[in-house]
Amino acid sequence: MKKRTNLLLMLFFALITQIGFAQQITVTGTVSDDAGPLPGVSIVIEGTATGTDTDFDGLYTIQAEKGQTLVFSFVGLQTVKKLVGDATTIDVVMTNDNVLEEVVVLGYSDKSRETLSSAVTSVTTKELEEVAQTNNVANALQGKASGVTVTAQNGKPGQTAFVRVRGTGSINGGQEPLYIVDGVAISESDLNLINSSDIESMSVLKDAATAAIYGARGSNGVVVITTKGGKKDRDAKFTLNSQIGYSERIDDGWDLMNAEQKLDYEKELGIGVGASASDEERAALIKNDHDWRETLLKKGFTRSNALSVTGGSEKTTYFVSLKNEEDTGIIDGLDGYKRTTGRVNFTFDARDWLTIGAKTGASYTISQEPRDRNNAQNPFRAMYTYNPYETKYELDADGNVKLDDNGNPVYNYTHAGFSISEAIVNNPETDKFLRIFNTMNADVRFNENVSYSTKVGLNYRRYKGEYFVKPGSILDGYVGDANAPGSKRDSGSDRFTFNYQNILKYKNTFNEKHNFGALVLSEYITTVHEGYSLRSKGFPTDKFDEQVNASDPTGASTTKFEETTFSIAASVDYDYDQKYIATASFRRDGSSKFGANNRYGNFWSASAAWNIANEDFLKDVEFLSALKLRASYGTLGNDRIGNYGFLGLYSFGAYNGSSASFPSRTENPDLKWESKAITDIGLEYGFLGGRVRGVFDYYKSVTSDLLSNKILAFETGAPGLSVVQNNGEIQTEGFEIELSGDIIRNSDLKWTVGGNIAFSKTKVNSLVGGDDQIIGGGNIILREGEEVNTHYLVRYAGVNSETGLAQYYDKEGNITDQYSADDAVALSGKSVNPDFDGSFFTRAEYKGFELSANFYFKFGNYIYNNVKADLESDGSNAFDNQSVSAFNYWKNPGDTGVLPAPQQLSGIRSDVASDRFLQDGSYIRLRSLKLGYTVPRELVEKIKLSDVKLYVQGQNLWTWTKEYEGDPEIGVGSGEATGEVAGSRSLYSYPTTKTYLVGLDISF
Amino acid sequence: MKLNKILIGALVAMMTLSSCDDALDKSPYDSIDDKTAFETVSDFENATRGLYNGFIGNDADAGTEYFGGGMFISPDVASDNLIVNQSGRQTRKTLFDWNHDAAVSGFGLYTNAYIVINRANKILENIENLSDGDFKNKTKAQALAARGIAHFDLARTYAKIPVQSADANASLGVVYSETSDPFALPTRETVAENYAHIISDLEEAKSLASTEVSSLNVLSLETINGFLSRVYLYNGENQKAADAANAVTTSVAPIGTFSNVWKDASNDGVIAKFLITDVNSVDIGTEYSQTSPQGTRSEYVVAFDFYNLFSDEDIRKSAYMFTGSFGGNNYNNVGKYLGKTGQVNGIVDSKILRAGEVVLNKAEALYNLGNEAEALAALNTLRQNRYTGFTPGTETGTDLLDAIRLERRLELAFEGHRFYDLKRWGLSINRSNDGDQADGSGVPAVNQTLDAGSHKFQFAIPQGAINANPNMVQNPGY
Repeated sequence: MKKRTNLLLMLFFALITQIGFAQQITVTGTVSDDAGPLPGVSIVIEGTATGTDTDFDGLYTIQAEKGQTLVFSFVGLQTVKKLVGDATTIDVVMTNDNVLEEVVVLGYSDKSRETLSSAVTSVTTKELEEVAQTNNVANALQGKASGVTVTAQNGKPGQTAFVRVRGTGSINGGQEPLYIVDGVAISESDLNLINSSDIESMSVLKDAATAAIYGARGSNGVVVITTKGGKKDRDAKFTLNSQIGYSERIDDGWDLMNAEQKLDYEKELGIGVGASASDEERAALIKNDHDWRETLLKKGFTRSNALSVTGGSEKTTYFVSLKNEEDTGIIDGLDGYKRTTGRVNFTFDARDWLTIGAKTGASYTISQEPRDRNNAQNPFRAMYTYNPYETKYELDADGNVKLDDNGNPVYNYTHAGFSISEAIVNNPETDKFLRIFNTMNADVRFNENVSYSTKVGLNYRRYKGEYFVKPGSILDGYVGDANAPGSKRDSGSDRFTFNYQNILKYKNTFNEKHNFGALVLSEYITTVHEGYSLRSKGFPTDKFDEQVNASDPTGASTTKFEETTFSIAASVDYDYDQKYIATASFRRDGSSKFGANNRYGNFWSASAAWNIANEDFLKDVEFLSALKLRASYGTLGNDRIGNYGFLGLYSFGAYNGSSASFPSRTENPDLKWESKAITDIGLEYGFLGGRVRGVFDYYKSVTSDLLSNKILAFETGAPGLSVVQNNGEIQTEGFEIELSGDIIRNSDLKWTVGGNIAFSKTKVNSLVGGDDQIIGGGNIILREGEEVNTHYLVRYAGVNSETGLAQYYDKEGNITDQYSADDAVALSGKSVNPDFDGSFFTRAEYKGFELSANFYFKFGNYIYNNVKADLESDGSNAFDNQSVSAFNYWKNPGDTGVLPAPQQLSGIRSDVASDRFLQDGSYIRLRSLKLGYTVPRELVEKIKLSDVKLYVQGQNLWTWTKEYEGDPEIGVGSGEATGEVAGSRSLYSYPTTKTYLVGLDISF
Repeated sequence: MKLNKILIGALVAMMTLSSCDDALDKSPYDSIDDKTAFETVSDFENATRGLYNGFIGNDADAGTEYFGGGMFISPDVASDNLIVNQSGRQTRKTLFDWNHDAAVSGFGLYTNAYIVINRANKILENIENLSDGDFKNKTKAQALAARGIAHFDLARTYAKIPVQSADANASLGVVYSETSDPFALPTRETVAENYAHIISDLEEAKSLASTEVSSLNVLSLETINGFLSRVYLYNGENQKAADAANAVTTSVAPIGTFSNVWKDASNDGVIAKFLITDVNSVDIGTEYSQTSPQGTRSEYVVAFDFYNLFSDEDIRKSAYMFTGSFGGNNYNNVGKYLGKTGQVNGIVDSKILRAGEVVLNKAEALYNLGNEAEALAALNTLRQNRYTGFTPGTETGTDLLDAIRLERRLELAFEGHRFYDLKRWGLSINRSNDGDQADGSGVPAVNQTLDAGSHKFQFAIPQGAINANPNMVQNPGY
């Protein structure tokens, strides 16, 4: 620590004298494009941080020295450079004829797209805003970058998404990409700290050329996010964003039995209430008929308000924002999710050669948590479980709601013995997160070639969870202590990550054409995580839930873990006249996560590109505006393997109040990161002055030293029956196409269509000993030569029309009515992964109106439909409500096209796991439809505003599925199901919702 | 020049940080390296308690399918003492319907029992770290006994019982695991070999065991003798069964305190039990029912014909069962595991061996040896402590055998014996056509007969175990 401080002080004092003076002149001008004056164009004096923006009329003013170069840049337009001479007026016309022209943020460095030799997709804020005003940044990525699959974990407000870059890169190691925010890594769950409107740019690094410098953390791809900053010499600009809307359940497509049907069904099967109900009782029950999906859910309400101020003076820039948002979600009785985020970003030119900056974001979220488990404690399960003739409250003989002695309505336990409506009121569970993320940097420019940057990142997260089982609640009656009713759990954690980086950069141009750059860096990251949990029971009243009121503490525990990595890295890049480009990088990582025998890992990459369009012989080809061929190869690692995974462990519990020990992990001192080698070949192109543009990429990645849970013989009784090992290899091969074009482009109307599609296939090359691995609860297989995560099920062979029994194929393909789990086979071609996915969009702009639509599609993945298995359960779940289709079961010899005879009639259970419930998950969804109107500037300026925009937006308005019954967007099956392969089956997790929004953006 | 110094300084700073290997050495705060887990007496005490936790499922790695609940209910679900409650949660329904197979069994003893065995083997492999003496002997005895008992429970569940049929001894037994090697790929031995190993472990345990009765010596000499009486009976060694039973000194609980045994207010007649408090996550009673202000909602209720076998003079009728209303219907619920005194939360101690069983083991063994007089005497010892106003019975011959079997069914009801008893007697399971409600109305069992020769008497090896170990073979029929 002392070394660091000394170094900083040295930097401050030693360079204090390096102040220079120069003669400055004032340059003014107008910037326009083919549609007229262009506001918001960034103008920077090359090699400095000094700059400005054009105003609404495209006008700018800047102080510059003669001989300096002004760089005009605007997203989507070709950057223009002008030398400052004697003239005080410089007018510029910008064109968008080159898609390669754009600055791409790579984390440790930035690069112009022109000289990039890597597969990197950038997403601008404008694009993100267009898709979805979402409270999570990761969700917003969906469909925006080819090869980046984003699946919402579920539809719970504030929930994060699974982001997967280029298929399955790992099986047991983490699969989330590395997120770099303002140069410092954060975890996927921490993305909640970022207000999506604070994002300046977002890049996804997909191949080794740019990701390998992240070494052991980079193999799942890298998402680089930069938050907004201010601009120098600009008046404060205030922006207000306000949005309001509502959300509702997407129709799940299931036609559930109504009260009368359910009673009929029960009678047919001779079970439940319906079996013995008299006509009178029946009539009374039918009167209760209601759809629990409507009773337990509601229309959700969403609201968000944001304010930001940005600007700068001669030496400083600033960006300040505040946002408050709320999404109640669709569960009746829960307030859902609330979030407040704040941000202060500033830079300060302390000296000509020294810029100091800090970016600080904080967020506070509070959410009321529903139980996400596969039983009636989960409202999304209960709404299918409860029978339509069962009421929410107990009714008396006259049909009025019964009241208890306190005058409160008495909840109906239902046949499930549990009222979720009561639990939502009486067993509240709340999660609160405070996140503070700060980066501070000092950038030193030694001269125009050498710069040095030191950066400290501080990332703090505090979690507090509360779970109160009120005295007298139903759950308390079941599990509580009759002598000390009510119980409370307070749990929480503190996590602090310290990140310290030093980067030395060199950049020079020789003979005007040889552009050379290099950087060396070191990075030290350490994290401490401390948690606690406190429990007690015996509450005098349900009004207080603080444990000071409890009569009997029942449990207390604290936990702690630490992890540290230290890394050094270097990269060089070279281009000749922006035509021939070559780069190389190297990183060495040491990590506390790796086993004693493998503490350090080395990673490297090399890449090359040829900007064909810059060749002289193509300069005259008008048709072609951009063409670049690039190739890269490199190695990366995946260190998401958990802490201390290499140690064999004994853990402790208690028996009768005294310590008890038990073996908790089998040791593996050789444990290390997974290695991934990626080859990528890409072609970037633009035609007709950029009206048609796109990218094509082919890649192949091989993950070796694959972390896999070797399942140990059950008879060993070894802890967890598994040990984590590095063995096996998987390979992903695929290609990605991005294409968009302006079909109409004139001053009144602009109509653009485009899309992207990514094909990928991941197969298993080798596994330890060549043995199959059965995972995901027994219905997913890893087998050499097969696609990764292939479904492994007994094949269903329909109903025997003579006996009504379900039939299956045995291993040899013979039909039998004897079900045997051993007849499960790998269903080649039916895996959890899609064959291809992508998105397409259309956007039309006409005189201030803007209409856009974004579709997301996914094809060829298979989902085990557990909801179907429960709703057409052949009598196994007949106490719960069933689908109307369950009536269609075998009744007489000769019946065909029917479900098997219910087990109440056949004596045999037939809702067993088989491919009968496996469905093609292909779907297309209208992710977003948005109509916006920008009020004409002349009108707006009359009321002293600069920009007013109104819009209406709908999300998930329309869905097409090929075969799947229910919501095909499956992330986690169930929040409390562990060991499951994401997307492999549906299990009543919070469903995706349909949202309608109205918004207003004002700036002045 | 100054610039150069800074440059050098920056580089030096970067490089010096590279020598921070120590910073990368992290170790957990909540666990210890397994190589240092067995160094002191207290380490072994902790491991012994960990062994108990393994039995009842009271930690993250163990489950509650053994003496944490599964072992008490499953064998009764699979036989004729219980019937599924139509208004319950339909847990273990697969087992009740005899649809259990390799994929879904309704009884997860397999993994639970081998976890116990692994913990016992860890203790045995490190036992020489202790110096010779009483503590070492006591600790070793318990680990050996635990290993024997767990293998016995596995063998009687997943393989035939020696006395069940003539082909039993030569048929497939289970894996007898005597090493904690996580990478072992063991093979199944025969039933005869299993019982030889089980008896060998229990006999060695007996030779080392302590008579001390404490919370750290649950598997005491008394416990081991009790289990030996059962194992010998299963193995057809009746004299040894009787001898082992005779070595047990605990007498059966008298009528006066019998009900309190099930509230954990009395230990009369209880030879061995694991202690469970409400801070544990183990609630055996939940296997049977959950009770709320709305009444007791049972998963399984007492089969009507079986309920009627309990006479009004039988203390067990009130100690084991109670009639209650739920959802407008009356049910005969199992009350044995409802809770400790004053509680209905299902948390009770796990009573794994009682004197009542040992007496019945003895009676049956003696009857098999032809010693009807002593068999009758043993039976009467139990009966006079169960029936008020009991007049000693005088049965002989088949009547005596029937009486022993009836009393065994009544005494050990809902404690996980019935299925194994019918199995070893080579009998079919016959359920009545009565319904689930207290008066015998309601919905009867769909499947009512399991023939004596059915392969379903030997549970399927879980498919996961077959997948994980290439040397495993499945039981015939699955």
